[in-house]
Amino acid sequence: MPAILIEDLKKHYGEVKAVDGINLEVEEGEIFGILGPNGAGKTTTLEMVETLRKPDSGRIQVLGMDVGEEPKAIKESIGVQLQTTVFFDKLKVRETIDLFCSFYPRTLSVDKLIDIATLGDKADAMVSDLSGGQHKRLSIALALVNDPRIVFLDEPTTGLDPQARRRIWEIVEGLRDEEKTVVITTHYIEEAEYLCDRVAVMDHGRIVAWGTPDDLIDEYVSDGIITFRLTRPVEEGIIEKIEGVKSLSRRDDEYMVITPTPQKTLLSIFAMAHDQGVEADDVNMKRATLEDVFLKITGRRIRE
Amino acid sequence: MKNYSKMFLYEMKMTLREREAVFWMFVFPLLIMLILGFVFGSSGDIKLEIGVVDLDGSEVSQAIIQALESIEAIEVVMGGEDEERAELKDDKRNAVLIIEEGFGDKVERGQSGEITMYINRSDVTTAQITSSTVTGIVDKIGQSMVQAPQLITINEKEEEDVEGFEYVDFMVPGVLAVVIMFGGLMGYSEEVAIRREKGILRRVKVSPISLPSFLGAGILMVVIMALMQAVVLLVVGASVFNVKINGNIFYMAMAVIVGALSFVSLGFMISSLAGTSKSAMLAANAVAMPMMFLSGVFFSIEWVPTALKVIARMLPLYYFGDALREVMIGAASLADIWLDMVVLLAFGLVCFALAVRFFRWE
Repeated sequence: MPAILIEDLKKHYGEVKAVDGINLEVEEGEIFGILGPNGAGKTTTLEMVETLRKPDSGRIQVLGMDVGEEPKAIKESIGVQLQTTVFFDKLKVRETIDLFCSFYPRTLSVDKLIDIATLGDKADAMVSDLSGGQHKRLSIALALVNDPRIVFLDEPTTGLDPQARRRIWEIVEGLRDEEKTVVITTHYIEEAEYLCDRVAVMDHGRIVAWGTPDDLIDEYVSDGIITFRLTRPVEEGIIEKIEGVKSLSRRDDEYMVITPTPQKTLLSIFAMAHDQGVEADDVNMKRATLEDVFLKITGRRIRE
Repeated sequence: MKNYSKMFLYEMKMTLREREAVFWMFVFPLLIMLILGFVFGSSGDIKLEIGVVDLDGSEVSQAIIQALESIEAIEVVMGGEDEERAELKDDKRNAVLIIEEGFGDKVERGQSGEITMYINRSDVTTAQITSSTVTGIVDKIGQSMVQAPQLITINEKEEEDVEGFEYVDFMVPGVLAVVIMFGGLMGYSEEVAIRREKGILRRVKVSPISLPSFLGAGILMVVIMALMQAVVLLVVGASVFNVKINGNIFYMAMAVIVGALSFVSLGFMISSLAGTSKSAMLAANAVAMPMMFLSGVFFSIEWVPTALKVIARMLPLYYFGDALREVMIGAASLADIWLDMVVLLAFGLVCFALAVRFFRWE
């Protein structure tokens, strides 16, 4: 039995097809990422699974239970971190956790939760005095109060600096060790690649690709990627004719080409620049990422 | 039950940590009460009005009346017994002396004569002054006229049911009503709207706790706060202004609870209907302010134009103020204020039903 089973799920808001017929299976014990730009429908999907929103059509099963039929039993076995939750300013961290513990029949101890969220030194601080990262860690602690089998984290690191993001990743990896199922939405490529066993790429309410990050990259962009800037724009036709270039995309003065023969192409780029009397600058050869997968599929970047 | 009491505990903590809220709930009402009390409540020099019913008309009785009249702080009003006692019941006399026919004769013959004095005990201090002044004067007359003061005795009786309201007696329950109204209306409506805006309600919704238990704790908190406010205001009112709290504690608490529930429901309704916490606050203000001034809680509406009276009777605060006053000062029982209670409960129920009907999690 999969931890989560979604079949032909739809949610429309008037003309806007927020979620437009998606199918998903999340296995127990995996860290599953939903990657996509803002407005792709990630949060709406998650909230329907969490029983917060009613789907227009389709089926959702969580741990074998139907969302429409057994919301209460589902709520008891899942933990949720919402994208934007501000807690009670006038409560301390410890009190906030204690309060949320009282909402569930069976819970972990407050101290254990503080420990998991690495908030030990802030346990007696007012919630209003927490930094962004601490606040997110608190909201993760609150998602874990009932020792849930499935944990939903909606953009847990958005707006955090790299160091704070790292600490959250460590907590999520701890959940992997506890064999919990984690569903995480993000628009950070590195996060999806680093944390997730499998990823679904979402855009405009649809899942456009899914699989392990490595499989996705191999499947969609096995080629090398070269990016460079030119001191003066050059006609795109000239770049497309460079040896090995399979596809070209351009953003302002930055060009990105995909090529099965990176080394030859690299040399040809310098040759082209020389012929055109411009200079190539900021030249990079890199491994493909999920960003490139997204770009390849949708023609856009995830974070624009 | 476990989750309910935790929620309640933390609701209390949060409120008491909010310095501003504590100011508005406890300090501000006291300030209002003290200001109103000192500005409008000062009774000035004591002037005793004594009704005398002289059925005797003898020299002795005349002498007593003259002696009373000679004292500057006493104003003597002559009248019939029924009439004077009615005035006393209306708090227009401090005491009524009744000198029976044949009193003078008895005293002159060396027998003991008796004067009945009905005393107004609506204000204990004044009653004591009245009693000792009158007794002193009558003793003196007895001394000078028949050299036997013990011959004249004063049979002191307490007049029951004196409608002896002073302004502070009126005002303190009124201030309490207003304070409880604000507590329910403002505190609660804005708080629920803020929690909705912050997404706290949504976060609570994904946990198995039910809406009634989550909101119920907040409502209970408002009620407990109302009771605390009542205690503080009444204690200060009684010690600073000698407000005469005659009511049964249980009835007073019931009236406070019913009123608090009613206004919490109104606040809850506003939070359900308002879009944002800001508009909830403005709406609560727009409801509370006119109600405060039109409901006759600070000043009696007996003398205002009829139109205003009609308006006042349409406002729940009027009934709440009336209930508190009757039960605290008038020592009424719940049966006496049934109309107030029914109006408040009905109003609260309607608001609550609308609030639930239009409640939104986000």
